[in-house]
Amino acid sequence: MAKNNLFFELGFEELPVEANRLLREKVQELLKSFPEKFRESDFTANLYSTPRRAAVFLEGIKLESEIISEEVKGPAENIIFADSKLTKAGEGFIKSKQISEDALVRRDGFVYYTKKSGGERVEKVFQDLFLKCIASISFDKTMKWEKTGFLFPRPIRWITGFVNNSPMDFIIGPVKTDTYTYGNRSLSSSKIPVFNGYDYFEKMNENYVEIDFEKRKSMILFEIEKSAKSLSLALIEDEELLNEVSDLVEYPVIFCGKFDERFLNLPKEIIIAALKQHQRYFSLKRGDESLSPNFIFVSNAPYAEAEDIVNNNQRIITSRLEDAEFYYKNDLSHDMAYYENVLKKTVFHEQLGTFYEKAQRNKKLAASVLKGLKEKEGDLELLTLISKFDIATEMIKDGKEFTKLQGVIGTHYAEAMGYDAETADISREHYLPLTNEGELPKSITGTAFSIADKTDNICGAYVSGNKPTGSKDAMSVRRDSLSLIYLLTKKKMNIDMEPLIEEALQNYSKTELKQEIADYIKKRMEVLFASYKIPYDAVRCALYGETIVPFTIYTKAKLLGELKSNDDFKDIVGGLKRVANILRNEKEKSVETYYDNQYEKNLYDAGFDVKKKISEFLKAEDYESVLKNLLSIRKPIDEFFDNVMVMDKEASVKERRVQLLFFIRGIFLQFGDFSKIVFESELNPEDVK
Amino acid sequence: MNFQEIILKISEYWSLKDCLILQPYNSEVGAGTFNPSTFIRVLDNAKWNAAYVEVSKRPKDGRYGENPNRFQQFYQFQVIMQPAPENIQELYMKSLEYLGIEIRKHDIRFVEDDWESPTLGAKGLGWEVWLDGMEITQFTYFQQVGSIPLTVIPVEITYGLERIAMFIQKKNSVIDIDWSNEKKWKDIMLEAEKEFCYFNFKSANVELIMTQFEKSEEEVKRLLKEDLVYPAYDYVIKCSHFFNLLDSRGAISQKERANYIMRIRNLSRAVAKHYMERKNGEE
Repeated sequence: MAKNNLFFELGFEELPVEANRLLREKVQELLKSFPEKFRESDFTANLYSTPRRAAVFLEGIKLESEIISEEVKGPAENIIFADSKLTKAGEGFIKSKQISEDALVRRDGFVYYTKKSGGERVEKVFQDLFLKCIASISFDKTMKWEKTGFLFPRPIRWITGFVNNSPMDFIIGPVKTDTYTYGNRSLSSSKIPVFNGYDYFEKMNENYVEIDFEKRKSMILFEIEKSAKSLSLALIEDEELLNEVSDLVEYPVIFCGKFDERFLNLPKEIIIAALKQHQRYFSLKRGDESLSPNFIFVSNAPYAEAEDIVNNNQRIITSRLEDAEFYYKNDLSHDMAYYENVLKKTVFHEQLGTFYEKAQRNKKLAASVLKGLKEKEGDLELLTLISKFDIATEMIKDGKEFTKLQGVIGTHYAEAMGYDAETADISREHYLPLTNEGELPKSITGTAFSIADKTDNICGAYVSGNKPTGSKDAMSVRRDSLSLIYLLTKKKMNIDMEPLIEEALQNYSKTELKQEIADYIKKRMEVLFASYKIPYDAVRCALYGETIVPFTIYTKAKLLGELKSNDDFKDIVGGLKRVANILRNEKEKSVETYYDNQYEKNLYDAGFDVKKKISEFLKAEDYESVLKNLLSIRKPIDEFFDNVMVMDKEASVKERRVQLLFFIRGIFLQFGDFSKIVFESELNPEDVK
Repeated sequence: MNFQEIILKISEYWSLKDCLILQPYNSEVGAGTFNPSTFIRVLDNAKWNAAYVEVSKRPKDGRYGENPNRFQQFYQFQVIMQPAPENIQELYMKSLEYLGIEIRKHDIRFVEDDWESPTLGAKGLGWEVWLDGMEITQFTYFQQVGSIPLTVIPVEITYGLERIAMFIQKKNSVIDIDWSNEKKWKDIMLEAEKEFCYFNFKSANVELIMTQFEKSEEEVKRLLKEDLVYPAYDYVIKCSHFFNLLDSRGAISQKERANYIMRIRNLSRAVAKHYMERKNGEE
């Protein structure tokens, strides 16, 4: 006997790719958390998705949840009854519980009643969950399309559902369930009757709809690789494009086209971008990594005539590439001086001046960075111009599809204008890394300009009132901050961001924003380093102090993170927390060196000794040795606390001990604030952010 | 099928679907949406089905007739239906079949593209429709027009007539399209296209056009005071065209650009608001 099953399909006009991804994610969550009470032991639930539909099929379900009766204790008898009659409260009680007076049992001075639960129908529960599910999705954009004003990213046009062979009765917005679906759009627009879930799968098969997203994706990849191989070429992999294309077709059919070889004179990034952004074509490469004029596209047309469809697509890409060529030739007809002039007239941001001014600010910061690193500056003026001039080219300014190539285009153009490859590369390099995982700049000038560009972007956002909030980050401060920290850490650079931020703010005469920006950057460090499995408290410990050197903070925090299970460390941290508490209301003065108590003396000597030892290690940035030495103070600290009362009755004794603790704490603070370390046993919820 | 037959055919199709067949507007517009048969008609919630050819002027897009696909002037076929019929995608697909395009043999796709006109304060959600990779239609469910959110949602379908002709006639460039059986597009249009490109990019009188813009802007405000909505809207259209000309002449800096767009949007909003207030007053 077939298992009990529930089938449901939501049919809509072509959903945007991102909206469809979100929908899948949320419906998948619904299936995963489908209530246990409706599951048989062999329960399975699957999700299917195309640009025009989302469908679920649940097998091995219970049609109704089990009915459970249990006796529940109610209020005291004398509240519910008076002289064997219901009191006012009693009447209220049976009303609220929806039971009759007869259902009440009196026993031991209380009333009891039987509560029944369960017996819900799976269909109803599914519908409630599904409605809640789609209402909970925060789509980027939704629309109205009819008079009820229901919101969805595109119009919902049909819904179909069955429990076994019985049609579901369900309304979503303006649409009521019926018993039909539609097939692949290119074959027919007529309704296709459906009788149940199993029937649906057959109908989809017959009507050229592959309803499984992952299957479409692997079909596409398989066919592309096969075609590429037959041309002795290889696919230029692009997961993003593959995902997108899989969400643009219901039945993928692959074709190969070719553009005119003369376009290969254009930089390959331009061609790849034109193919991808405009037409969603896959680019192919030859064995030597050079771009091939052959390309592959995925159609939704199972009965297309290859010659026709390929010719039509080739015609389109020709006109696209001609447009790119038009920009390319036009742009190269100007020289750098021309672009410098255009930059002077091109607004970077209304409150932050022109791109020329932005580039000049970058130049100043880059010069400081290079100076700090004791590196040669080179022709800073030229590098500054080359880094930004492509903003003023038609390719970037006007061509929407090529905007993503900013930097890359600049480098190509600068090389074509005759600048040497390293100088030309500043345009591309100074944007790197694009994310906190991306490619890093290689040259030292590229690195300096990248640090400068990002620092100025971050500070400029605060200056212009665009600081990031939980929901808004118009100027991508978050991305720039993470990329900057990543760059400085990954390159192991000894660069302090504090004076850099200050200098960037001086360019705007807004130094008062320094602390706020520094705090934001520090928070980003916690976030970024946490993604490297470094606990946030270790980062907070290492963040102590005026300077913000991401690489140092990373190094220290990593060492601290590894120490968290070490007993000496736990003990020391415990001791230092105690110290921090004691010192909370005290003031630091000079340290006495005379101690009449052996434990005080031992502690002072150990501290003195360690302080001397670590000063060299600190200079050499050998933080592992610093830590090792710091841990050696465990014993004298323990013994001090075991045997000495800091808060002595006699003021001078107390003061002496307090100052000794200041001395000891000061030694640790050279590394970080150990009182920020939290052990699991003492975690309380607010600490976890 | 030649170009004029395509126009006749597609008009016939939508006429059979109960659309009024109207004519292009008598002022320079960037798109059929500017025609008052769309802009003003969709503001009230009344039923309104209309279709018409529109001469679309986009000065900046000219390439002196040298790019196969980019021109400073082209022909749109605009369909506006309010409220949007439930089977509108099907109606659209059938319109292609009516033009003799065998849907089965081609790749038709609805690719996300949310249309927006910042000057008209109009936006909507929809797609560009691809026919074998070529964008032939913009398909939009308006959500807002004249900066006013709509309650009855219209659908706008804008066909690129030259592109459809290129497809049907298998031509590689617009200029080679057969307009009739004797004349090609280039025989009729190319000379003017080149001259207009020269005018748009190099010769248009910036000073004059700036004055025209300013005067037209004032005129919108004056006419609204006299409760003359349609004439006022005419001057909004003019402002938009003057702005496009200034833009293609490179006479507007980036910063001014945003400002010009905002000025036109304010005008179109004022017209829409005035029209709605008058309508509501009548009820």
